[in-house]
Amino acid sequence: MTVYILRRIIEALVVVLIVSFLSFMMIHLIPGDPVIAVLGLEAKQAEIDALRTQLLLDKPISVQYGHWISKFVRGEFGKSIITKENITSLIVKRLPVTAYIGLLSLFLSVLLGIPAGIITAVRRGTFLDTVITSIANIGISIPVFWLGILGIYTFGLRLGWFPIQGYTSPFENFWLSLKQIIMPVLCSSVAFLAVLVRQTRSSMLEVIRQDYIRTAFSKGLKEGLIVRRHALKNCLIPIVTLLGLHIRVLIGGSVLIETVFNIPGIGRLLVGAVFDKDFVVVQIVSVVIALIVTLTNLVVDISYGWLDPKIRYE
Amino acid sequence: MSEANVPHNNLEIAEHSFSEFRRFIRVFLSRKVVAFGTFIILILIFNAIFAPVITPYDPYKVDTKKALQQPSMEHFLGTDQLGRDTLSRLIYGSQVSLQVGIIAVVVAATIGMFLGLVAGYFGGWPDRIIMRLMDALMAIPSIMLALAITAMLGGGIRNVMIALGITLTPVYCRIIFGQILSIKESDYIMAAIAAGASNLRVMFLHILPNCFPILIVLITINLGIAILTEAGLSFLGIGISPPGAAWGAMVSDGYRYLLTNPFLSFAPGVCIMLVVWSFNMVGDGLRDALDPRLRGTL
Repeated sequence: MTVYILRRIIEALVVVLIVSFLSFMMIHLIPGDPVIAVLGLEAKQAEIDALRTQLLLDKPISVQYGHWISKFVRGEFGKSIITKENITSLIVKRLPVTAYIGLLSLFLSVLLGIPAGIITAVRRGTFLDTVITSIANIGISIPVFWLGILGIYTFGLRLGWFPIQGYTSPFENFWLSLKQIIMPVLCSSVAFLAVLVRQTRSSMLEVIRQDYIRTAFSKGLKEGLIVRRHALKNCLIPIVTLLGLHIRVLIGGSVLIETVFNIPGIGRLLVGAVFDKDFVVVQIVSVVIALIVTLTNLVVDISYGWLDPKIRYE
Repeated sequence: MSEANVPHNNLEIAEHSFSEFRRFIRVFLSRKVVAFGTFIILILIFNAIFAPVITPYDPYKVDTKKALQQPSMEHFLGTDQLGRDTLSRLIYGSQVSLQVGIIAVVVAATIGMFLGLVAGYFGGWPDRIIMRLMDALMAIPSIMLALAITAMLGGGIRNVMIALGITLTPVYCRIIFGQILSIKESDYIMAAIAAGASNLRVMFLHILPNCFPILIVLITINLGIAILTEAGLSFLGIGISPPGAAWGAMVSDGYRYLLTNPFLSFAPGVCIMLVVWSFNMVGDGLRDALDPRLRGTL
């Protein structure tokens, strides 16, 4: 097991290094001069030279990369070239917001998705199954930004139940924070919820067909007990895999959700930086995101090894 | 195997293949949602190809006197803030969606398959390097990768296709890699190698055809994902540039007029949802008809 964990950690480190190198190369892959791209064609020569020195563009690439990596590891992300803000503080402010909404929506998806999937599998062919499966099929196809706009129209503009935009920290004003966060969280959770319903249904149907389940039934055990004690654990493995895959989708979706609901998270930071051509911010945010995704996948992989003994011994 | 079932001549082989095909079509269309999904996709393709002929109005023609009209007999879905007919823009939007989707998926499938074949068949260093590279690509969300590429190379539609293609590649690579690992040790592969078949021949003639069912399903489902992602990007303002009509961009444009003209945002969203749903349903149907054993895995 330790060998497995160590191997996974080394692989994760390699992946992060590759991403950091690719991100770092971003500035150099821009056609033309990146400094001019930022400052514009009318910039004075002094400004151009200053920015060039600040970004270390006049040194050889290996030196630049080494410098960049050493600063990154220490948490010194540098300053945004557009707004001159300290990037570290930007990320520290915005990451928790995105994480908060992301974790809540993940929690909601799992809470609703797995039971719904179990119900559709156990009550297969009934009207309830058809309804839930149809909704799930729509759920995986619906664009998350459109869902947000639909929600804003229905619950914000027409019914007036929730505020249509904005974000407040729950530590400042819990009630307002709750009202503002319901719609973003609900919209974010739909996609994974639908995926979970489908996957749980599929896994459950496979498991139910197995002989040991039939034995349990013939022994006289109640249906609920069989589902909970025997069937459920075997369904969990593909679900854990899906969880790992979904983190990536969640963060990607946060870009859209934060734009629709005007939430100051890391997704919107990236979008703003792209449109401002703030390469340094784009670089750093990309690597940070990749780091988070890789870390999460590492945790998922390790727990996968713990859940499925077959994996441990490969 | 009884003598009666083995096809003896070309006519019997042809009949057998045809009846296999009929079985496939029958199983495929047996579910109503799959049949409906296929119908929608056919309409989509029809719209994309014949857009210049079937649109009632010019989708780019600005006529501010007719701005922000409600749906009427003249303009089925109303007009947008510049007086352009929404229905016509929706039909032209199908061209963008289909184009981006197809090119991105074809690029991803080709590169991914090639890399997967190399990694799976040769193992060792090619395997390690390629798989780590794919892991690195999968560590960044598609939208963010597209944003990053946009920041570097500009926001045009060609870069969106490239970005989408890159983000979809790892899936193909991994699937082919997995398939190869499971097939590599089979008897018929070893027999082929023992008979002197070259590596290339084994890869393309023996291993690749076995991956077709899973590839076809994957491509269909990825078309839906690509269209969804493209919609998200054009919503953010990346990809098609005005006056081009893309569904995501139309949703974003209509956001401002939500209270008075909700159709401006609703209609393109419904289109996106319908199209992606169709690709998902058809993908499900293909998977069930081609190989029900794939049910748990895809």
